[in-house]
Amino acid sequence: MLFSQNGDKKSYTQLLVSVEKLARRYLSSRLKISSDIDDLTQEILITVHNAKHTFDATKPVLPWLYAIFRYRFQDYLRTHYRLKKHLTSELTPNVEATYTTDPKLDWEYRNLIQKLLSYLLPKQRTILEMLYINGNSAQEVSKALEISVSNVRTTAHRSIKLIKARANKTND
Amino acid sequence: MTNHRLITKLVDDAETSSTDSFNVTRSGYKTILFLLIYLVTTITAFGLRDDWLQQIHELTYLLEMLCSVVLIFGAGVTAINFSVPRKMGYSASQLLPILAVAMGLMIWVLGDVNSSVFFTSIQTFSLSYMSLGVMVGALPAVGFLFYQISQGAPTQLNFVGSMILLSASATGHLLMRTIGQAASFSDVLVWCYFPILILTLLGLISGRNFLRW
Repeated sequence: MLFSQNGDKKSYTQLLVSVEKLARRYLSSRLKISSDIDDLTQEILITVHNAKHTFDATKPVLPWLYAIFRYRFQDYLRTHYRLKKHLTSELTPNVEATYTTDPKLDWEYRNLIQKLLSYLLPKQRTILEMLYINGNSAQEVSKALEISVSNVRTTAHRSIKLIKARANKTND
Repeated sequence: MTNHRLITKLVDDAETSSTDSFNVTRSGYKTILFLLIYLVTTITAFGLRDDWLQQIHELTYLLEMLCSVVLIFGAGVTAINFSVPRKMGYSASQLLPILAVAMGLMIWVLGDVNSSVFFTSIQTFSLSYMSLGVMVGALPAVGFLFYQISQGAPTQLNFVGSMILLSASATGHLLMRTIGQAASFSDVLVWCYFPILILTLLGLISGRNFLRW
């Protein structure tokens, strides 16, 4: 950390790689959705980069790092519950769980997903497919479609809500 | 963007941009110095209240001033200490809000305040200028502390927010009580002391919105 603070490029790369590993380990025990872990790991890396000038070399590095992890994770949870993502996340594992070992069931699930996705606008469908079927992160989708990350998240959130409402209507 | 590409980008950015390291001790000293200079300058400019020498010999007033001084510098330094990523843990600074409440109880008990005079004070809206004085007196301290903390990277945003406003409002309170006069401790409690609690609570609630980075 000390070398990287002094502008040593190699040490700084090593530091960020270690931070990434630590962050992944920290987040994987707390989160299940891999795209969220990716997003949050990237946010943590950016935060460490922005806050590196506040590290005091006379003090241990881990408490400083874990304070940042906790801060970003709590921030994520706050947004997660504010957007009521926990209510729509029930649907997400179902989409991921469609790839079963039984070919007949697999075919049925795929058909169902295609049917549900057909209710959406092309843009919404693309975002959902990229996020939840291809497993891209929100940042990757935003770059590919040239829209903001928040726009990607909002569209995905609304699309899932729409699908859920449609699925409930069909069940009724 | 993959993490590897992000890391390369951040390393390149670190090479091109240079930032001064943030020293908590130095910022703490700066804060103490600023608060001291601000208090001394304001008191010198407006002058001490006429009966200040007489008041300072009164136990209630003396304790009130001592509590204010502890809150001003204690909360100010605590806010600076928490302007870098760190765990809350068991810190003595968590006692500061308790001291703020104890100060109110002390004014109530030693100042012979009872419910009837207390409610009379609440209804005397003409004294609201005292609260305004506390808030105006707090503004420079709020500005300075926010600036100092924005140089760092706080992770306990709500706590830091409450400490900033506790220190600043205690500064306003001390100035108001040193420069202006009040008819009774009941008026002091309602119009000078309660702004401290309200502003601290406001800092606790809204700290996250103002200190996000």
